Amino acid sequence: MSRRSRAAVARSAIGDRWSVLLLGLLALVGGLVALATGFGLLGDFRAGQPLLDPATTNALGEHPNFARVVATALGVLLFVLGLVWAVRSLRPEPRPKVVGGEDDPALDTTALPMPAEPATSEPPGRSAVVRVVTAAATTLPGVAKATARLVGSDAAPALRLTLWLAPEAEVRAVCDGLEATVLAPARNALVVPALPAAVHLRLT
Amino acid sequence: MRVLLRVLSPLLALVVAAAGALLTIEVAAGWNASTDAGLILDWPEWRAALEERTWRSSGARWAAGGLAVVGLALVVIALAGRRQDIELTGPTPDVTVTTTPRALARLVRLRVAAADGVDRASVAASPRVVSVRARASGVAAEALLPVVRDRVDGVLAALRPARPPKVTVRVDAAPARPATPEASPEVRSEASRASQETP
Repeated sequence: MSRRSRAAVARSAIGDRWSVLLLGLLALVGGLVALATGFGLLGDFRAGQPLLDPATTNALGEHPNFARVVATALGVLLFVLGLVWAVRSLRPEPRPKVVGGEDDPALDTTALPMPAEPATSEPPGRSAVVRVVTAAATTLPGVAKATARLVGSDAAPALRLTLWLAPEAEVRAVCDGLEATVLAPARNALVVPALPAAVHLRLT
Repeated sequence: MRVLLRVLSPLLALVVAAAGALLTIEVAAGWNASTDAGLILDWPEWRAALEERTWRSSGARWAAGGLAVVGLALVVIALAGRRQDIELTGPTPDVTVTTTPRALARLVRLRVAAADGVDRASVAASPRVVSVRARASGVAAEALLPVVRDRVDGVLAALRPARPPKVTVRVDAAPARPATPEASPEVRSEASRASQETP
């Protein structure tokens, strides 16, 4: 199992998971500490103090400019962090630009086996290699439907392939047929030495 | 959970960015303004409210409890946001093959239900455990057990999961016609991972 083929399985959610985890931990710990204070676990005196302690406001009032600078810096930091997080989270998964990719007419599709009859439900605008890989995959016995897309970087593209199998399909035969029927011709057509692939099997 | 994470994450990001923007705007406005009133937020009133409530007040306790619950929910969502794929052995090292637990469960159920003497079967699958429950009809449950096991092992041998799951098989006897529900003998079999790898 190569690292690149594993990375192609799905778009990574690791950034989202860490961000949400950190924010959640912050809220959880803050809430628990506030609860402990409220129930007097940090001393009866603290529990009886106002939420905004006059001692704190007095201390801040003695250095108003320092407090303002710190508050402004914190605000700018939160703003930038939030925007970066949002942009990274909403940005579509990048597609590698490769020979035979999006708009390349030079793709040598003759190397790929074509299905007996062309599929009619092809959405337009997909890259040539994806179209042909999908068609080739559906020629494997037991594969009812296939979708494909290129993922990864320009220098290191990878293939993500989802196959819908009939329940009686021979999974081993499908897996073993992938290399000869789909992947080797796709590598040749794309002129890349290696095309790691992540294959996701589903049942129809 | 993963969908929820994908939706929640950018929303939380925008909340953080908005909080930062409001903080900056209010501080900058308060710096220059002659009055104490806030620009967008009515923070002098917030300040008065915070100064008169103590940590012991019920409002503060409820707010703290709510914050802790929201935080716990976010932690759970973040931790549960991983993919539940089952990894199969690929034909070459450069090919990763995965499937869903539901697909594995359905394949096992179809194979088990097709065996002679199995009335019905239900299967639950996860990357670690496949548990099968079948009901015999016209055959002794003890006799059916190895048959069902063989069928499950056959499916797993064909799929070759990268990490073989633990298999639990349970066969219930057919309900006797004069129904005596409490006398429903059953047999169990459990196989460790190790015994799975050496069929």
